[in-house]
Amino acid sequence: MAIQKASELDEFYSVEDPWHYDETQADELRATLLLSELPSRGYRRVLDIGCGNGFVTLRLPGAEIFGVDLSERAIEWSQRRASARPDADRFTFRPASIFDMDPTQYGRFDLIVITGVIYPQYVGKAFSFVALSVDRLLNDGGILASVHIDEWCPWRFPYTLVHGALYPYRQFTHRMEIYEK
Amino acid sequence: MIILYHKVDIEQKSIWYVTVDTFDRQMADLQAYDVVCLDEYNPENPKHVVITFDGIYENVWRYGAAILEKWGYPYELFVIGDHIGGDNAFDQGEPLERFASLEMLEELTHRGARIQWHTAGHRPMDLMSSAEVSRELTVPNELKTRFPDPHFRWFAYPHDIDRSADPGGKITGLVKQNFTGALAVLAGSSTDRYRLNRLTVFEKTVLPSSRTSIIIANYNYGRFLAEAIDSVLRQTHPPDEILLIDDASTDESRSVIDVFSDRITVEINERNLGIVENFKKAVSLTTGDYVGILGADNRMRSDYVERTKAALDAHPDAAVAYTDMTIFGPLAGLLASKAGASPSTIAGLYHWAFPDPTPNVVANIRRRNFVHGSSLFRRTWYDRAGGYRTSSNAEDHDLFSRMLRGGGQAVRVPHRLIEYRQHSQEQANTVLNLQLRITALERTNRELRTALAQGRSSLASAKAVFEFTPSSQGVVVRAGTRLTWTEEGLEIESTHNDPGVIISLPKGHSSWFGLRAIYRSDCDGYAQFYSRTAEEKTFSGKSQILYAIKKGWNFLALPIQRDEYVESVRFDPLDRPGRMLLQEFVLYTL
Repeated sequence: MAIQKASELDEFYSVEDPWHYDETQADELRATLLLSELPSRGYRRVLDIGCGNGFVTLRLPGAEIFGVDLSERAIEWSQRRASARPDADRFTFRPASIFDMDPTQYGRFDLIVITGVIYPQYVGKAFSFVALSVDRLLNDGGILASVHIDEWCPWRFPYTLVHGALYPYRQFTHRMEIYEK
Repeated sequence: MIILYHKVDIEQKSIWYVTVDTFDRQMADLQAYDVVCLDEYNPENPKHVVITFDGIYENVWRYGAAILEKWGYPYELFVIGDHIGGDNAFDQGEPLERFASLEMLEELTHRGARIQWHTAGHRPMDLMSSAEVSRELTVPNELKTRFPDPHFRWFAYPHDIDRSADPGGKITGLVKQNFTGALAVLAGSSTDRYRLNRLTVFEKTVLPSSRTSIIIANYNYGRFLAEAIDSVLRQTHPPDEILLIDDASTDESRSVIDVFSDRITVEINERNLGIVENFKKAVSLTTGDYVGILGADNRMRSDYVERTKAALDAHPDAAVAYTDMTIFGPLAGLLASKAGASPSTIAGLYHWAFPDPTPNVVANIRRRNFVHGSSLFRRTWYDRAGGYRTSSNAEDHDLFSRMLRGGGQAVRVPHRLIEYRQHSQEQANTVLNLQLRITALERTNRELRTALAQGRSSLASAKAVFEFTPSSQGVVVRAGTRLTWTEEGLEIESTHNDPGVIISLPKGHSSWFGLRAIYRSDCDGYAQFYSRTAEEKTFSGKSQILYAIKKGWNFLALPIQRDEYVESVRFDPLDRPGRMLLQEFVLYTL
């Protein structure tokens, strides 16, 4: 399977909401499900990998929230949405690849959310590298939340499973896993 | 053994690429060896391995280095001097890739790498002048300054130099002058330090390694079983063998097992054997060098196999690798306070750490077990200790005590690789278990539908046992019934009796048939079907199937189902005299 390039993703994001998350009940539901399962605690630094236009990012708890995505255009949309909020300075968005996130640049996080990223068309056969990258970015005792289409993502992160759930999402099944490092 | 890689990347673009995940597996398998640098390499030592790269491609810096660092290995980078920081456009047929820059190479020297020489331009040297050969084989001063000794002690030939192409051994002479040793391309030798053998590693290369078997032992844990199975199926490094053994469960376990039975080996005990006999049987049914048993109410973390296998690989005198655990479940707190496990920041989870295997701890194993039942053990030590036995202690405590008393070492893997469920005896399916079963069922459903749509069925296909044709054998016609084959089909006529035929079937075939008949009748009535099994002497009334026939065309599809094999079938297309045109009559079974 060929790896999808950032430029292709940019084409999707020529519009603000290419997959109609804002209007689709299934997406409202998945965001609510994720937020309701996150252990409630005061998160300081939070990272959303694959933030898209900020659909989930802007709902996350935390004092400082970072969103990264391969698509620069998606990041622009996120920034625009964030700036319309009174708490805009909580959010920072940057174009980045999970293969290229230097912890000395980004620091470490208490909560990492990764949604719709670990598919073969984005990460090829390199989950072991992604797991290493995420591990370098996550504090000990930190929480990792992974939400992916079950049929496309065979991998599980090497952390303690706190909560796992499978639920229907559009024509797919989503697998949500919350881990403690 | 010296192994050679070229490109490590997230996808395999040609045979010279190894994907990152495969590279990670191969590096894991080297835990059983001593990975050394070339200066320390002893070709006579079968445990010595040197990891080398030719190139050096940028993807080795981008992806390979992180994996090498993860496993803590040194490695040798053979650079092509002229192409540092350039690209491989000269290599037609290969995808365009960049070579690592000087800065990248320098960074790698701080992360376990040594830089070595792979000629200036990777050109064939046998047709070159002395001056050109000299240039190919000499490391430029700028590079020597940037990467001083111990770098650039070694050389790797870019192409094989046939001895006839190097009369007087001038090329090899120069190599010997400039370098402390050299690696061959194809035909090397384990004793010639200037022509050492290398093994090129490909995506499909499996380095010699021990095999791991994971056994899931189930007895009436159908409500948790899907979670246990799922955790074994989602390992970062999958085990070589997965066996699920069920000790004659009486709950819903069978239906859970069915849903996963295409992905794991299953053994169902017909009668309950009890823990010791069940475990002994399970171990004897597997073939891995390393064995681990997971209780069906627990889960393993996704790096259980990766880490415990690495521990046994790296410690050849270890009989067992044991881990820490996470306790979860409704009664977790109770067990945690008994065990001295500390609470996690997540409510309901507890961290259970076990002590290091100091002499004191090991000596006290009888009193205080520290090697839990889901530890990964070496089969040789299992056999040596006599396997699972009935004893007054828990079976795992007893086994591991015997192993350690017999001289086997225990190695601790200080990660919470087992998720241990402390639950009550309630019959409550967890939501996750039900969801996992639904997902697995949906997957099977999808696969079946796809196969059917492609015109192939993974179901056994129906086959015709009997078809009415002019050359059909085993057909007896009733008195007064006349059969005439015409262009349009088979004319069946009877003037003063019910028309009927009796068809004999192959012996011992089936107790179930489907019947399909298409025929035109010139009046209304009833068709009758009878079947006779091997034990019956006649067609009895109780086997009768009646079917209403109307004037005109009739399409019949009927089942014939008996308790024993059916030997013959009687077909009366009408219950009164009449004429019919039969287009099709088929008996089929699976």
